[in-house]
Amino acid sequence: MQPPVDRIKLSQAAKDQLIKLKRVTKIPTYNVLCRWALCRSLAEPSIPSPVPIPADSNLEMTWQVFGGAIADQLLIALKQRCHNDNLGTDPETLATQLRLHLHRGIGYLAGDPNLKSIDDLCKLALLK
Amino acid sequence: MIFLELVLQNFGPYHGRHCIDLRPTPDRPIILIGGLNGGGKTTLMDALRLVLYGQRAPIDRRRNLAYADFLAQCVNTQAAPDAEAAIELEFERVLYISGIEKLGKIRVIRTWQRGTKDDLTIELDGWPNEILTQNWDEQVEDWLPVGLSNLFLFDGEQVKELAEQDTPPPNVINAIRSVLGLELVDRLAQDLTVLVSRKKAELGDEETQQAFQALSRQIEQVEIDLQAEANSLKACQDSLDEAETALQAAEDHFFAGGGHITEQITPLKEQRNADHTEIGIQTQVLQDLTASALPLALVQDLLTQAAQQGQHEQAQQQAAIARDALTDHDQRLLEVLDQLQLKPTQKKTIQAFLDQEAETLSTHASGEAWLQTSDDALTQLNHILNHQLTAEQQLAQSHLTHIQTLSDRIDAIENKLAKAASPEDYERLKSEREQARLHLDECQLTLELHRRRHVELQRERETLRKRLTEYGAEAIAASKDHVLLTTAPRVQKTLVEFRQRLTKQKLGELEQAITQYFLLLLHKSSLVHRVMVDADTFRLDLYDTEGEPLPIQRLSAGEKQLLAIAFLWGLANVSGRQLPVAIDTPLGRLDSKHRHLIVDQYFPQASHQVILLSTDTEIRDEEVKRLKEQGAIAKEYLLDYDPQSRQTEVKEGYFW
Repeated sequence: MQPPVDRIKLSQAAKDQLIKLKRVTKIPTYNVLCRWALCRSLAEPSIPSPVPIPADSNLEMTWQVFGGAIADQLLIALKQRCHNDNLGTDPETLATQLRLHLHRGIGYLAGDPNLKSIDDLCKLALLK
Repeated sequence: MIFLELVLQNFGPYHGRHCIDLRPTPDRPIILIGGLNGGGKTTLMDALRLVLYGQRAPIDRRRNLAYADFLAQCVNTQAAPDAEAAIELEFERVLYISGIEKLGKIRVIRTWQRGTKDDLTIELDGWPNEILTQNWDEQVEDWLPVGLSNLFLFDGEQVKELAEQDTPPPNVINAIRSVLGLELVDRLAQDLTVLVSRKKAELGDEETQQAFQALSRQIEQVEIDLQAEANSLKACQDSLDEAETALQAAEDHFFAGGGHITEQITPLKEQRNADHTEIGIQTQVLQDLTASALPLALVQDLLTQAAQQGQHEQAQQQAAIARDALTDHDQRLLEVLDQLQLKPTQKKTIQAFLDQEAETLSTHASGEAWLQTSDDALTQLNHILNHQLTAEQQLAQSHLTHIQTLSDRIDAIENKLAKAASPEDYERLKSEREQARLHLDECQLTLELHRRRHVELQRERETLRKRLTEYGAEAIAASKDHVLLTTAPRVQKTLVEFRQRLTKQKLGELEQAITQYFLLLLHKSSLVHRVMVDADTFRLDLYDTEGEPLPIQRLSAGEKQLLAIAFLWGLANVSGRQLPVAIDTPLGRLDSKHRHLIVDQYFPQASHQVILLSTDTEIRDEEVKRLKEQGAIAKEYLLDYDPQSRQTEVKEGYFW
């Protein structure tokens, strides 16, 4: 499948939050955390606010690094979300929404007071 | 012993004072006193007995009279009412005074008045002797026992009763024993028995008493000890309780101070470290899981929708392809149908069917294909949704649970470790606890010791009590140790033996003497060969020349009298006592032949002093002559009774 973006560059705020999450969850890599962040945001029913997100950090990764083994599934989920939100599935929208959802997800995870360890992160996937 | 003088004063028929000189001259032992019946011969005999024995005198005439009445009767009827009656007897015998043998003259004076008791005075060599007077009864028993008096002062006619009876009367038996010297042995044996029994009782009593008291004291002591032991037991129990409480407190203290945790601190730490390691491993697995498909679980709804969309798009694609193919196919089919020239209605129907089919297909093929996913991606998605996600969720769940358990455990361990005592505190608490435990052990030991002692004391008390009850027999057994008691039976045995031998010997002598004298006096010398004396009863058994027993009943009255005289003679001889013999009616109913034998054989030899009281028909002129020929008569008296004055005079000389 055609990736929506080739590279992803994160904001400084997101990077700081990711550093915190790394410390809390002891997950050594950013990309895994970012996958969780994207999923976390996609699971949220509300549409992310279309705010400009600066790419002012030095944290940058390719789509393949970001998605890893589940890159296609992540893209499918993103597309389905955009379709559900009636935003269209054109590459530009997808890229924008990916960026918004990713940063919103990082914010959610970092701001979750209940998230104190990798256990809590895993529990997110077990709820329901 | 020789009677010297008999004085009668106002006694019986003797009015006033009458002296009879009884002294025999050397080689002339016989004092012959003559008197008619009622002349006072028997009174003379009674006087001898009365003066010697007083109240105990064996006098036939007294019968059952009270002594005072008898004395009153004895006073001469002619005498004044207040006249004093008296009997005096002087005799001579060897005395032992202060260890010196001395021939002493003793005068027994018995005086009384009518209605009064008799006064006794004993004079020794003319001087009243206080000691003798007071002890006269004992003294006379020593010199001339009352039992013997019948054998030395006797009535010739009555003496035959001795021989007639199967066994002699008890007083005679006693007299015989005394004469033979058996009495001494008997008394010795009896005394010894009394002594032994007294000693036994004494010893038994004393020793039993002592042992009893000792036992009682022991029991008392044991009781006291028991009490003390019970007290100390109680104290021990208390201290044991205290120690237990202290130990409990120490344990509690130890526990509260975390001492028990300190003991397990190493294993706990190891456990904690292991758990930490395990958590690390589990966390690693979780990390791996987070890096796999697990986050997709968050967007499961979206993915499910997407999967449907993907299928839909696939179906569309297929429908589009099929519609293109079918449109051509339909066109060609219509052309064929046209050539068939079907009815217009039929053609219309087929046309409608085909249009409808096409319509359906196009409907299926319609719709926006916005997802545009590859088949591979879709297959993978389906796989993830249907299988991988669930599996990973389960895996994560199990690991999470495991981690939770581990961390809970670690928390608990950490909590414990936090409570653990510091090493110094631990040492202190431990030593305190150890001390408490040690103290408890000590207390238990002491308690056990005291308990045992208590039981022991109780057992001892029981034993002592049992012994106390059993003591009686034991004490007597123990007293057997006493020398006297051990030797006494031996002595008694010896005495019995001695008595038997003495009896045998004495009886042998007696039998010999009696046989000899009896044969001497009996003119039918062939009648009896041997006289035997029974050792126990002193019964006389006669045996004839054939050695056959001869019943005494077969003897005539005279022969019996002779046997009795021979018996007395033999006794007097064997006894070895030098006592005077006084015989009343000495010849009785004897015939002339026997009289001669008596007069010739017996009277001169009966004793050193023989007082004969005779009537004129017994010792007649002939007998007197015979005695005088032998030179045996020392003195002769005649008791002359005057019926007018009812008085008797004592005159010198016999009837002839």
